[in-house]
Amino acid sequence: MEHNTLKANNIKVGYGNGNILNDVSIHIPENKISVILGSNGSGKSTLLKTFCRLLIPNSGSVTLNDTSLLCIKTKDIAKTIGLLPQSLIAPEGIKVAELVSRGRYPHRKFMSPLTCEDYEAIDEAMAAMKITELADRTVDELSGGQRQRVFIALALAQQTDILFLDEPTTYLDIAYQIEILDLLKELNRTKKTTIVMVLHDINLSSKYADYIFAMKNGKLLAEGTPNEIITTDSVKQIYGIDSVVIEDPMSLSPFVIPISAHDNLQRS
Amino acid sequence: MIKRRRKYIFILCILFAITLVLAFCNLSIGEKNYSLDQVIKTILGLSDEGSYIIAKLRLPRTITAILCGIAFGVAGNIFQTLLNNPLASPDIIGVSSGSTAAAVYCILFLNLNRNIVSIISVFAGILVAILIYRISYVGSFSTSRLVLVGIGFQAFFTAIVNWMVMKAAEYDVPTAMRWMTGNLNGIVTDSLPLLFIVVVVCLLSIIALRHGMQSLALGDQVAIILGVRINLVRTTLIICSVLLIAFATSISGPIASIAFLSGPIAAKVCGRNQSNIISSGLIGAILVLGGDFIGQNLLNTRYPVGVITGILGAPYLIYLLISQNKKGNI
Repeated sequence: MEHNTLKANNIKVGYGNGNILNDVSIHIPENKISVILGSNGSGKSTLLKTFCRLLIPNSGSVTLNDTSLLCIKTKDIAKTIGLLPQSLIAPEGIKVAELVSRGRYPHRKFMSPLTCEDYEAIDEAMAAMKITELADRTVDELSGGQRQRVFIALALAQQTDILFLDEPTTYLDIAYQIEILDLLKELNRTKKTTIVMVLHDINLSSKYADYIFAMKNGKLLAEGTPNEIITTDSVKQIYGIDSVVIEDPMSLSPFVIPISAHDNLQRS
Repeated sequence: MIKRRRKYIFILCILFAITLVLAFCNLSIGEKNYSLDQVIKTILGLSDEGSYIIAKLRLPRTITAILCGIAFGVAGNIFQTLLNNPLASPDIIGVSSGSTAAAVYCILFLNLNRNIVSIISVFAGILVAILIYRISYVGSFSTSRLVLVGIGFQAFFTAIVNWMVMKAAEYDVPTAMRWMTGNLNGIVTDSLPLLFIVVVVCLLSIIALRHGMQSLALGDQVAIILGVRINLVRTTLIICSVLLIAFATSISGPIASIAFLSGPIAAKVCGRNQSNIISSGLIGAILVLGGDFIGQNLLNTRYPVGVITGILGAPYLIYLLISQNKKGNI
């Protein structure tokens, strides 16, 4: 199993003059599921985009195996780092298998058609996301959860060792959320893929993450296992809300119950 | 998927066959009709019968129709795919009309010869493409803004062309008219080799970049993630398309609607699962050959090919504007 070390070293990132990320240093834990938590505007997505070279740091660097991303051929990075962005465009009328096959781009030789290896990777990606039977459907006619699985399969076909996902469960109902996260966990356990995602739901993060990064105002507030990070104090710090933290009886991970101003009123 | 590839190749063969049949129709049918046998013999140089009409008049015309059709079809499809909008075809967003305006100016006011006019109109096309892009780039890039700016440019250039024709000396107007409607009359053989080279080189470059183009259709972010050098790929594709459009325009004039219609028709016929580069080129050739055949033979007056294809394109443009408006894309 190869180990790819991805690090951010004192990065400052921003659009124009202001920096959204200020002096962030992160070492992505290999072969684990990491979740980046933080309130809106805390710089989570910016961090993800910087790791995926969609944004270039104003200072500091992102390094893959101690070489700056800027010094590695973009096609070679594409063989190691994949991303499911927040919004994805599927060309009108495209079939599922074709869309997934586009993920093979970095592995394809100039001008050559898809190879056996490519077809295997495509089939495997579709099987992992349980969409094999949708292969000949057009993407337009799928439900939200199915589409999201197709998009993840596209990222899987890229066969990267590290996979970033920007809010993979947004707009999905709870059943699809669990389904997608379970599939990702399975992927991590079977193929040892390093997974890094931004999630909004703190309890799902706690349930699925091996490691958590908490962001606030463009800085890394804390990092550690869910048990270390998710406490009444840190929830207050990250989101500015009061809460009670109990143990999730199923996963034994911390479970956050936010306290509402109306809670006591309703009881009395 | 492999089956779909085979089906695509099968459809390409059929399109190619249709192109050949239409080409032979255009060669053999006209004021004087020739048999297939005579046409082939004349082309191969085995017979002198009708050699003037076939070899000197109809053959250059037919080859031009095919090359220009391919050029317009492919270039239109690239624009539409890259910008992810069926309205973003070079003949809708002013690139073609920019070339036309420059050419008409050179013909009517500078009296330049044909080859120089071609080159100038190529540069004008590229310049207009850059200009439209710069103007529509306000902080960020938006396709619908580009389409709207382009339609504005289109109207502007059309007005300028009309104005120039009104001001021009009367005997120059017929030459200038070619540039306004798209016309295959009076094609001379010596302009063909250059057009042929441009079409082949651009087509090969575009085909070489087709995987990158398909990735770009998924959005810039995904393309970067997949390892596509997006600026290089996009710039090369746009330059090739503008070259195709401008060179074809400099020879046949802006044959209406070919660039605009070929891509969507190819997508209807072949599906949208491959890049449709060759299929849209063949559809373009079929439209030009068919339009010219109808314009020359089937109506009581002879119409230039652009008039016929323009009639085809107008209803589709209206349909697109309405359906895009409903979707809120414009």
